[in-house]
Amino acid sequence: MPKSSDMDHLTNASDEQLMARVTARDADAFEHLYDRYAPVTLGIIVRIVQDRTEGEEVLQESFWRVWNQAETFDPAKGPFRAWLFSIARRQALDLLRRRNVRPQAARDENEERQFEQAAAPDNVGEAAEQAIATEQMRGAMTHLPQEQLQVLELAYFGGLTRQEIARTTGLPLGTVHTRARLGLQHLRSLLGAGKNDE
Amino acid sequence: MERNQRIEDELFPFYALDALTIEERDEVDGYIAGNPEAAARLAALTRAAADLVATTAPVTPSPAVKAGLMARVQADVARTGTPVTASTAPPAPRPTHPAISRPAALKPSWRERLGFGRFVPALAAFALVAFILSAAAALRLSRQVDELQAQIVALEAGDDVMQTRLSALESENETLRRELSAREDLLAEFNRPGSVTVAIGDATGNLPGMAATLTTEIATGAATLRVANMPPLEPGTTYQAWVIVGSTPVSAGTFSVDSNGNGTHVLSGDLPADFDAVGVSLEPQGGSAAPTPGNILLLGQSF
Repeated sequence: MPKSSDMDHLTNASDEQLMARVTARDADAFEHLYDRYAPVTLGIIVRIVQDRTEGEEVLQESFWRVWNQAETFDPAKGPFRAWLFSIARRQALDLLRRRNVRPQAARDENEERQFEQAAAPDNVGEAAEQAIATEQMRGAMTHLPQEQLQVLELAYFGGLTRQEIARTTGLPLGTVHTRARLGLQHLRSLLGAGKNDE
Repeated sequence: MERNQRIEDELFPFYALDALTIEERDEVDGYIAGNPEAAARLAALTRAAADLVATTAPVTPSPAVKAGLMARVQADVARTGTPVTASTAPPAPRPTHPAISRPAALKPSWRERLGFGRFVPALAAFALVAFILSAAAALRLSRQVDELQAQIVALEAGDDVMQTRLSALESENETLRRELSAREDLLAEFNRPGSVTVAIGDATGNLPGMAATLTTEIATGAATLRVANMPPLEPGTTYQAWVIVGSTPVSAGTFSVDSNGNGTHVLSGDLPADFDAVGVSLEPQGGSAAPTPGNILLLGQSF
């Protein structure tokens, strides 16, 4: 059991600092990362596989990979959460492919809310901060043009390549490229580049 | 370093969204390998993609998931050796005071006499296995709870369906009861002394519940039309009664029905003394000079 000062230190540590400790086989740091990201990661997985029970299996397997492949994480390529989400997303898409099911591109809000639950209560402050940040991001998302959001969601949650998106939507490939690029740039400007460069 | 516009415009966004083929991904990795500026631009897009994904509604996993995961981690730590952690790092060695150090010849402790040290790894392994089994059992139980919860939801949904069907049946029963009551009223007309009643039936073939009678008082010759289960009138429309002599219809006045489609109308107007048939049509408010083709709802022979 970690001491309270160690707990505080871990709680205040950045994702990348925690990952450095996970690489050194620090189970406590790993547990902190799990507590920090398990709910949103499971949200992503459930959005793709549409099944909570299977989603939890994928979640455990994804974090297990984080533990086992920690040394392959490269912070220069992007933040930890992007790496984690990428692992979880691939695991979820693999599950669908094994089931031979085409992933869901997006669900309507009501459907999504069926799975939505309150944040874990064991760290209320952190959960509240995360919830506020998420709400800010959701607010920014509403300003994103729908056609750009569609391409981003088809790529990420739908598991489609850019060529498949062009075929699915009937858009020229160049338009798909443009919408994806502008969508991400737009999102960056809406959320503030400074925040992202933490 | 030269900037590759094609890679940055076409592949970078999909690299950030993790939607490239392996070959495309390798191409991007090769491009940014010696190009820190391009790598920074890609990292910025990757952060934006992560922000996009982070807006997904969170779903709190059951505690069993964490328990099972941490059991696997602890087992891995136990298998691969002592980890470097804040909580498990060995404390700095304390200086050994000569006065309290145990002489080599000192009597062994009960732990040593029992060989307790030999069992420590086995006990730790046993505890670990027990923990993993407990976590697995907890995960299994959690899933069973989820399944039961889903069954309850399904049963509740089924209950809603049954309730809806019951309401529909009750509504249908009420309609049938009203039709029966109206037909009993019509039947009573047939048996009324001093009058002659004829039945008038559905002329459309689509409204079998609709019925009517025409009762003529023998003494006065007054004729009363009683209708039942007629469709409700739309605003700006009316029912119009007709008596037909040969092939010529003569208006016998307009009338409306109540909310159940029932109504009574005493034939009025400049009526012939004798007629061959009687009918009812749907007409614009105020009535028409002749029945609108296709709008004749009831038709019956006179006596």
